[in-house]
Amino acid sequence: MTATRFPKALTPLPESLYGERIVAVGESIESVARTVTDVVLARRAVRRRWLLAAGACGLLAALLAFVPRHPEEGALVAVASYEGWIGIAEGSLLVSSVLLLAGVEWRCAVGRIAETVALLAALAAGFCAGTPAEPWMRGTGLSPPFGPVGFWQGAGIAALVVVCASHWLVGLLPDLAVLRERGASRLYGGLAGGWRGSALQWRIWDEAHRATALFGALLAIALQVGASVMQAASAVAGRQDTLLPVTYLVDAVLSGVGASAAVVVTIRAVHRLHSLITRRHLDILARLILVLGLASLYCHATTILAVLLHGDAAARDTVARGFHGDLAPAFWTVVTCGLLPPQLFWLPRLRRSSLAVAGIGTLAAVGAYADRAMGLAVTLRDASTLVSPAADIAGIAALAGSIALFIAGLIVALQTLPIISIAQMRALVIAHNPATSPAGPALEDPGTGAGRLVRGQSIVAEFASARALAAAAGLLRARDRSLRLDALGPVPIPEALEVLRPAVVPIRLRALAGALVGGTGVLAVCLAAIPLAAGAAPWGAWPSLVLPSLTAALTAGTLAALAALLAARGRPGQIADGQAGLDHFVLAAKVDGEPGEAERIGQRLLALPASDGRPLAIRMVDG
Amino acid sequence: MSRPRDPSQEEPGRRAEASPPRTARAFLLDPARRSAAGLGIGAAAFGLALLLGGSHRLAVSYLPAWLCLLALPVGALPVAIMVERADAWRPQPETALLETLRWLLGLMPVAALLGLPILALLPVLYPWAAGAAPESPLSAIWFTTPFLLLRLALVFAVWIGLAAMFARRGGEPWGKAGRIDDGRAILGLGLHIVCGTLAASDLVMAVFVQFHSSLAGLLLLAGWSALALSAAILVASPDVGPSRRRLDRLTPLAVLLAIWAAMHLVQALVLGSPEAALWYGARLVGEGSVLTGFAGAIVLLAAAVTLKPGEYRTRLVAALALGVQILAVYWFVTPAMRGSFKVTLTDALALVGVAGIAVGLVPATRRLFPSR
Repeated sequence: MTATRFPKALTPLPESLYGERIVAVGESIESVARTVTDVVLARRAVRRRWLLAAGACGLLAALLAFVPRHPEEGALVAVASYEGWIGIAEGSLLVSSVLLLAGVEWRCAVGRIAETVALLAALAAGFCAGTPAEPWMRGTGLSPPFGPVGFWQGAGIAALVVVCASHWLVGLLPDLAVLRERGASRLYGGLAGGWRGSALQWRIWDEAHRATALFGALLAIALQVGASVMQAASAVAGRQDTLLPVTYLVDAVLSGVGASAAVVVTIRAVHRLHSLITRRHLDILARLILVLGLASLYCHATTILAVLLHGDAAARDTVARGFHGDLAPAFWTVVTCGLLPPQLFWLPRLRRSSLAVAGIGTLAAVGAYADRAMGLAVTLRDASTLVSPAADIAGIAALAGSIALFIAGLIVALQTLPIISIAQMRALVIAHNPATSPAGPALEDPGTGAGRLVRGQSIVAEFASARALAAAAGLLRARDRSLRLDALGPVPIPEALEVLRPAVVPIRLRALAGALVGGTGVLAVCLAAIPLAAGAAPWGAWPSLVLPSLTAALTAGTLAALAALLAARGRPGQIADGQAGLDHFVLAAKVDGEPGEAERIGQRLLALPASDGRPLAIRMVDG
Repeated sequence: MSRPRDPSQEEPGRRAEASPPRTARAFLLDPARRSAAGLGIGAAAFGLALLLGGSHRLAVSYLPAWLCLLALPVGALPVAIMVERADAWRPQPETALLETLRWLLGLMPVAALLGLPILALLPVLYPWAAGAAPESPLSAIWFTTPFLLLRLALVFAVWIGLAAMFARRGGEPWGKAGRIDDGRAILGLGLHIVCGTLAASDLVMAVFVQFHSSLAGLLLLAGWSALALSAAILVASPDVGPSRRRLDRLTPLAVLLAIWAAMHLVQALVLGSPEAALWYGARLVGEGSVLTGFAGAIVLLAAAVTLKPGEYRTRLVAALALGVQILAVYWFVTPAMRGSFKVTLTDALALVGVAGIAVGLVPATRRLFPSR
């Protein structure tokens, strides 16, 4: 199962594929960790400059947070900003999760950045969500299960933030241990806990990462489609656009990919990460923006054609207002920012241009924002509560404050945490640059190697690859089934797990149980709190009951997966943390038998063929 | 039941056995006689349907039967593009599933040919052709016979071209040019979705003049792809060697079914007009409500089986999904003419008739789709 999730070195690929490598030729396990952690462990003066900039942005956001909000609903800019940030958050989360679940290997260099964008965009949405409620809910007759609309809006954002943060934290855990080993602050060690990179820990991490990705993707879809279904259903009967949920979902993903692409290009340029984020990544991101731009174009064209063919006079008038009326600024912003620029990526040269990818990605996010604003303007105009965007000072302040908060958060994340996943990049390096990893001592002759053995109770052997480690573990286990073995490595070691076969409850079962408990709990509370009137429209109950329950289930499932991983993080192993295999593949054997048993095991390992399981080095330790 | 044969294994004009067939089944399955047998069975089924139901009922039954045939190549097209695109990274041998999907693409010209009778039945099937008032100035032009013919000609020309392009085996771009050509896949999918939306609007949604859903094109295309993939899973032989380890046939089907069901749900939730209530009212009573519940159960079953997939479980889910998708085509179309969803003997005979004639025409149109 795990074998299919990580890049494999078995498949030879044409050298000229796309003309660019996914990771530079010279990169190794060691160099990846060094490049990424150097950003965090940079000179204090350099970091201070960046953190001052982040502080300035944070201060601006804090000041703007005190601008009094409009008490009435219908403040277009604030609502559109909220929707825009939510779209970026859900789009980034959805894309990064789907790529992780699909095992797409190029995600390794950009996945963490997309997850960070998702988390910060969710926080920025929370910044904008103070006053305005979902304005279209008045028209649908759909009311929350109980309590005010604002409470449920806040609960939705909180769920999104919790799921984004959990998925982000799960991915970070092994990288925090690398920072700990490289002498970063004690805080990293505290967060990493007892992470040693054992085969079992990697397996649990992999499962938890995939579980949080699955729940995150489902939550993004559920929240996005749920909200847009309510907006679409709130239109006058006969003018409901059934394609609107698809349009908004596509726009959300487009804006998420666009914003992530802009951030990726910026980080690549500022920190000179060209060997990890190659031009191939730019090319792929550009292709994604092109595909999503085409999908958005299809949605908008189909909606307009459907209105012109089947819509009533009022619906056709709304389309006309977009071409030359009060909606024209928003409509033409959608066309000139969101629909046309992505088509430039048909040109290969532009797909490999950093400037083009960052610029068009940003424009795509602006186009998606304008689309939200246009949809809201139509809804609010129908409800006769539209506040002019120019007069919406509080909304403009909310937008500016949220942007400042996003930039501040991004700088802080970049300066304090590995912005590229070290664990995933190392797996990629092993697959694509097998000759350079891992860096270790040269192979020793079996005869001379034996002389280095020192008497002790445990034996620790270092290997060149996970395959060699698995072969050695298989040999030892075949001779003595009671021997206690532990395998450690800088990346997941599914080969060793097949030999060691540790007993462990799958994370997915715990996550499913958590989801079940969370979902049914909230459903029960809702059912108890709502007086379900006789004769109520059955469809009306769906968003009122199912969406909160589903959101709670997905959030609880994510938290259950995170909790299981954190619990497994501190599980004791066979060898001390000081010898953890964060840079090498290590096999540890605990010897409890007769005197001289450890030496015999060492001799047995050193007698293995160099091509199949002989360790690079062996030492014996007490304990 | 014997294991279905991989269609790719069949060479054109190949004679399976030297000795004459000894049973009726063997006689009909003999490749040399299959064409004539198909034409004969098809003609007999149509004759019987005409005799039992009359020309009007046959016309009503013919449209969904033909749409089921059309769904095979049209639905297979995006799935084949996606599988080929995913396979482009892997130099392992092609899977039997992809070969079967490519074989289904070869049915595109047959479906186009068998669609010609629809043009003669326009006044029977579509209210606009029978003189219903247009809803807007544009629809007064859009829904006219010449403009419809122009659109359908364009749509089928594009579809046949795409089918011929993607049915070609060994056409993996990187294999030839040393690089993966995403443009071919993007363009293919984009054109397919545009053509599918136009065809769904003109051929399916137009049977009920007052019901409109801009999502219907994507919804029908998702259903047709699920139909084609189910059929391909049922027909394709199991993979052996490296392909077997990496191939998961059920997950794409489960995802397609989930997308199809989600779009149905979204459409039902969004639409609140009296016309929509009327449209759903005709489809959610009696047999229609049973089909709706059964379809929901199959979608959940497919998702659940992905946790523990296996060849026979996958084939079982595919068979159930195929049945649901065929009935879903009738669920969409026939209530507009009958007032409610029900499957009649004429429907079954028309389906057999279309399938028989298609089998008869396949050898003639195969020449357009060389295997290499």
